[in-house]
Amino acid sequence: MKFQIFKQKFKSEEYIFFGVAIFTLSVIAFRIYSQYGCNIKTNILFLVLIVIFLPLIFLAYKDFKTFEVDHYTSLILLTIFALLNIILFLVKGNTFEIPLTEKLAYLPYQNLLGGVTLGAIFQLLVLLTKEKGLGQGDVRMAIICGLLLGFNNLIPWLYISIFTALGYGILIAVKKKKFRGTKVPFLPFMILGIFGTIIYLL
Amino acid sequence: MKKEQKKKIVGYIALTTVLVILPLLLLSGINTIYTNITLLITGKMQYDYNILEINAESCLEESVYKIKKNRAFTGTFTITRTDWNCTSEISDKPDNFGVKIIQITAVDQNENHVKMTKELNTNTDPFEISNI
Repeated sequence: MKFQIFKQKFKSEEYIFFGVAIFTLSVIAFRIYSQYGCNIKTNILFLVLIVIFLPLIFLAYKDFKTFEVDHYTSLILLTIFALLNIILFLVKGNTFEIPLTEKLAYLPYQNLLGGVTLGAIFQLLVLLTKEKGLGQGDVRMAIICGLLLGFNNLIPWLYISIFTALGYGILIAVKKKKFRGTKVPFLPFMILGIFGTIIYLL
Repeated sequence: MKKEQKKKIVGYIALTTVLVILPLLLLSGINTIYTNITLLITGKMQYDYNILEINAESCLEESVYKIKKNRAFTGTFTITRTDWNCTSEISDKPDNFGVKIIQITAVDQNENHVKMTKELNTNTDPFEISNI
């Protein structure tokens, strides 16, 4: 039932969606292999990124089509990232880091801080707007983004997410000739923000 | 059916919310840039000052060298380089034979100033240098 959304006929929007997804994945592959060459470490890094990105792309597509966040996929991702970061933080301490590339490192303490900060801000927005301005699913996704990117990378992530969502929102509003009450699926842009930040950091 | 509906979590942002967040985001971005520029400037100033201090030390070495060659040497000399210059003023300390006062002023192109005053005792071997 979950994959029912893939059985519908593709429209131009879907082609653009998957075009952007494939393009960003290609850019990530190009950035990794052109800078660090083809070796076991880069292959593992690319594989890990693909494994993380595929469920994110699925979540983005579902939100794009239905304005809903898939409960199980998002919950599994949230649990995995939260547990991984909490365990590493408790076992190795707050200065522990796993260097992935020259600029990109996995810092459990920063990731937890990022997740908590983003989650708190987004939850506040949900409460203030009574879920009319921002959906509850976006809070869950914001925590995942924070846990993935870390506190230090939240500003570029937020810039990419908000500006792309604004651009798409304006397009939709102009198309519908209605600005008030126009809703934009936020997950695809949050995930585009993750892609953009990782491409910038690689 | 009811179970399915319970698990629905909406994931959207209203265009109005985006427009509200945008100025806050721009403000935080400008603030970050401003803070970083300030940090960069103070870092550069500190670096320039440290380099000038090293250059002033070279000037002091040159002064001591001149005194070593000629113990009676007094007067002023200037070392000029492309991005910095220093002036060393050597005088005898009154009522203390063989003790010299060296005053060094180094200036760089960013108008950083380093001033140091030293007392050099030429009666001992090796010479003794101390701050005043």
